[in-house]
Amino acid sequence: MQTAEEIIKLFNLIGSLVCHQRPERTLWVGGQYLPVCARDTGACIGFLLGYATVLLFRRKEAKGPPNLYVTLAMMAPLLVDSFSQIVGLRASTNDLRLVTGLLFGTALAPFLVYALSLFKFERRIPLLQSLLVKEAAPDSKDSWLSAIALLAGVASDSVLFFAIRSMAGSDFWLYYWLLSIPIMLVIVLHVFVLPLALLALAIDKALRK
Amino acid sequence: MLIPYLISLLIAQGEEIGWGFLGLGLLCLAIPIIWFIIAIMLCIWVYRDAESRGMSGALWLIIVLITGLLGLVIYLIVRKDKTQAKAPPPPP
Repeated sequence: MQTAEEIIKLFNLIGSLVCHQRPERTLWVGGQYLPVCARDTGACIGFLLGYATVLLFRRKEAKGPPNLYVTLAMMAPLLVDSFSQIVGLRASTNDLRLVTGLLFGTALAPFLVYALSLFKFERRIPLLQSLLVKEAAPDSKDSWLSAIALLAGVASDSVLFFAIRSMAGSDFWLYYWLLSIPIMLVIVLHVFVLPLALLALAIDKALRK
Repeated sequence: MLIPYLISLLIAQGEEIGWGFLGLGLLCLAIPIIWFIIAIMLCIWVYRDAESRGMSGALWLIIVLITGLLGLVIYLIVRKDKTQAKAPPPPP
């Protein structure tokens, strides 16, 4: 039991590096506050869903970017919700924060993979290499991830939204771990591992020249 | 100015709460710098691409620097085709 508490403390510490962790904006799941706020919870889970969408629906031979209009439409709700709250026009709710975060993460993950494919590194990017587009060509109209694939992500987002919402407020301990472990995985991968790996690859490329 | 201050603050914290936290603190200091370098690489790509299409590279560089990947999505939507940019001017 003490080990679990230590792990929760570590999760909260890692979460505090990327999130304000304000209790009123954070979901209470499994008798604990999650390590990050509702919006970041949505974004992190959405990121994983975005990668799953890439794995399932990408067209390996295509070179064009993911459908840009659907990507932008999926990102926009989070920006509108955050911005209108920041300027004091309205107050958001945890449900809205969660759903906008889910949509944002699901759209951003494929686009991040595509953006990374634009840089030609000599070595493999850890974990993401198998997802990268072999010959990314932003001019190509042949979309690597179609609008329908992204909309399938949106449909999955709505299922996940109701699943996470039903877990919120529950004291069943397993729910906490079901959500916090994937969240930590996404944070550690994107905030620590990926930037350090990219820096190493960039230095390696510069030295080879 | 800011970086030596943050480092001295982290060293003081390290003595107080343990060197593991100091390591984590230094990593936290390094990560934004690395992301900034990645953002700069992305901006350079956007600048070159915009200039090659007869668009304002500097303007798009600033937009992508401020808005990140969102700016890149918008840039990819609105940028001109290369053939359109290279088309000769119509005869007078």
